[in-house]
Amino acid sequence: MKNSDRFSIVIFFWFFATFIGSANAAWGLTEKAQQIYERSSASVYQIQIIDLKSNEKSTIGSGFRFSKKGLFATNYHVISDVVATPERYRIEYVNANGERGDLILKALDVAHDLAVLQGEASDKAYLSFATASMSKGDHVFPMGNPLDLGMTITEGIYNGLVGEDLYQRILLSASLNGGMSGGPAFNSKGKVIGINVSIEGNDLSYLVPAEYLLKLAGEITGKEETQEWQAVIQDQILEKYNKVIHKILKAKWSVEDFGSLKIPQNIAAADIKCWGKTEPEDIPEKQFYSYSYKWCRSESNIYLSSDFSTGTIGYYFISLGSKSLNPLEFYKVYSAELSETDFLPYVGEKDVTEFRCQSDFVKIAGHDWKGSYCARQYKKYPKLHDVFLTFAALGEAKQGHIVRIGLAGLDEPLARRFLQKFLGGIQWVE
Amino acid sequence: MGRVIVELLPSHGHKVERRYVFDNGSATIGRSYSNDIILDDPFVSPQHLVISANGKMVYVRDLASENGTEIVGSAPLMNQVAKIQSGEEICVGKTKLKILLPGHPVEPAKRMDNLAALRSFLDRWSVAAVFSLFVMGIFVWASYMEQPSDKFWEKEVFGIVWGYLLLALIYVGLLGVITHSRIHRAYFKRYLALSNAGILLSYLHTEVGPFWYFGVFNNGLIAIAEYVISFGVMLVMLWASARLTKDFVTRKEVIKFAGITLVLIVLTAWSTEDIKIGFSAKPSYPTQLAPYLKPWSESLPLDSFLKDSGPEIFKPVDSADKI
Repeated sequence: MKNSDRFSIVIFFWFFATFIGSANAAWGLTEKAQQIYERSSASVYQIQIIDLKSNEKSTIGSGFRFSKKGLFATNYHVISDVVATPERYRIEYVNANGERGDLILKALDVAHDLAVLQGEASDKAYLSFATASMSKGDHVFPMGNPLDLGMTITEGIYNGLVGEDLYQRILLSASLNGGMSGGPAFNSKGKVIGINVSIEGNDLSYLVPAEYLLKLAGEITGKEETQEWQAVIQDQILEKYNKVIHKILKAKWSVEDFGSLKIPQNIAAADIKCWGKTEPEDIPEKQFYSYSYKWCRSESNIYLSSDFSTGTIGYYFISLGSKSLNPLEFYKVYSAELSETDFLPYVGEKDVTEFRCQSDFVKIAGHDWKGSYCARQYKKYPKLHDVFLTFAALGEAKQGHIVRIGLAGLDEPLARRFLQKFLGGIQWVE
Repeated sequence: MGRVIVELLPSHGHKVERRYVFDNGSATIGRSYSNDIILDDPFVSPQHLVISANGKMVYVRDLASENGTEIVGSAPLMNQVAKIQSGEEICVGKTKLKILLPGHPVEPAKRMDNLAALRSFLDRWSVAAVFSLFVMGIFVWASYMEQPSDKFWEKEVFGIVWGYLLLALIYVGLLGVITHSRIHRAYFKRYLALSNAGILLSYLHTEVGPFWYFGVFNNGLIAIAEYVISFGVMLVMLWASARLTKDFVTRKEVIKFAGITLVLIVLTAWSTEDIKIGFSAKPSYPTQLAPYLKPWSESLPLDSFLKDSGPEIFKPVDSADKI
């Protein structure tokens, strides 16, 4: 039961991260792609985050002009450095001819990974958005500047929406690469349907649906230039979690058997995916105890900075048992399992406080458990917390059950309400 | 005039270095070769003093020596005579002498007791080897049971054996060097036995630990208890070492060692996660589980556990945490 096993299934690459692989796969531009490229390339730019001291780019992404007033769209993760340390960076756009211009952050949406930037108003071309809905199998044409190689267009297949309502993403079969983040993706009529945001696995890409960008841009009018971005980010994360958790809390959960327990069945199937594994006791193979686990984890997370993501929900149910070990030996295995702290990516001292834990004997489903509840606070977003909870059932000599839950980036009382329902739903099968 | 005995004492400790017996009841002491007791001490005069026994007393006469003769606990004699009792100590130059008369009481003979028997038992090579193999076996088996696999016997077992040897031999080596420098005997086998006993004791403690700590919910407290216990084990080992090699490791030295051990333990404690001062990204919570044990009072209901935990954790944060 190594961590690497558990997480190797989902390997998540942020778009701008250096990506070695199919960079120069034959991109066979169809005629359609050619048309779209010719019509739209003047409105698609490279977005550069310029380090003020060296006056060189430190991060690149893509973006596009979408209004006469000079509004540009890109991903939040492209410009996150500017939000974190505005005194060290500024934003520029560069077009295909090498012309540059300054951009100012106008609005952001961390929950959808979007940012709206303000350039100078001009008569330059801008892109417009699709109104027709898409269906699976439709062609999509993402554009952007991968790895600083120059503006490219590629072709992919629309594969529907994934994720929770209000926070959905377009799943696209296309080969996108780092640097294309923030670029537009067109339908076959050359209208923008979404913004390139991330990739996963082989040729699986995600787009942010254009409607979220329109909504964000719609909120801009009349807003002040300077913003308390941290407060905005905090509120957006809180809002997302509130919606997600309240939906989960309202839903009627069904239960399923797991060892001697009845546990809540997959509680939010749209976003939280579950996996399981069972290993029987096998003495010739030196497996002296049997274990079975089910682990679930939300697929989406919220990017805050290059080394700090949040917004995930994850939980484990583990059942251990042994016939061949004596109780002392078995409890060593059991204690070791209790000390595992999954769902906690390493976050540095600049971003979070240390965990504080509260532990006690707790009664759930008529049985005694040893439980610990730990939480830490985000330093820049004081209303946000990471919560970690772990419970081990007591009293049996050669059998054990562990429940482990991690919630990243929500307000702490909300976490407790969720845990109350979640743990309260556990029953014991005699 | 009866017999008088002079004992030459070492500068540290109590073990008599040499013993001189004078049946005629008197002796001259000094650096010159004409003396009865010739002292190689640059602070002693060539003709320094004379002692002579008279009945139940001894007379000490200083012969106008450069630095005088000091009777421990009184002012130095300069060309004077003083009367002392059997068993009193005198200092000449940097040398300490003890003057005794034949009637001086001695302790009754000791029986060949269990301790003596134990010492000679432990001094056998076969005992040292069997005991070491036994402890090493336990060590290896316990490690194997934590992560059983074939790879263990091919690879990891060597690391465990090496670790055991280091652990056992560091103690033996340290004390052995000290006793060897003092009396030219290392007491290798006795110290090895003690080292093994210490390792065994520590192992038993880790087995019983989860039972001790089952109801303790403060990890810092557990860590402190762990260090106090390992310090205790170390003290017991040092005390036993002193007993087994009596006279060669003194009480003073045991205290010195205890001090060094304490410093080492505090340093180790400092660097571990639980009491560490630096930032830790992982939560620290009690993970000790023990079979058969159950909470001795009624467990908290879930809702009150959760309700209390939040405010307990977020009690007014120290100002450093507020941003």
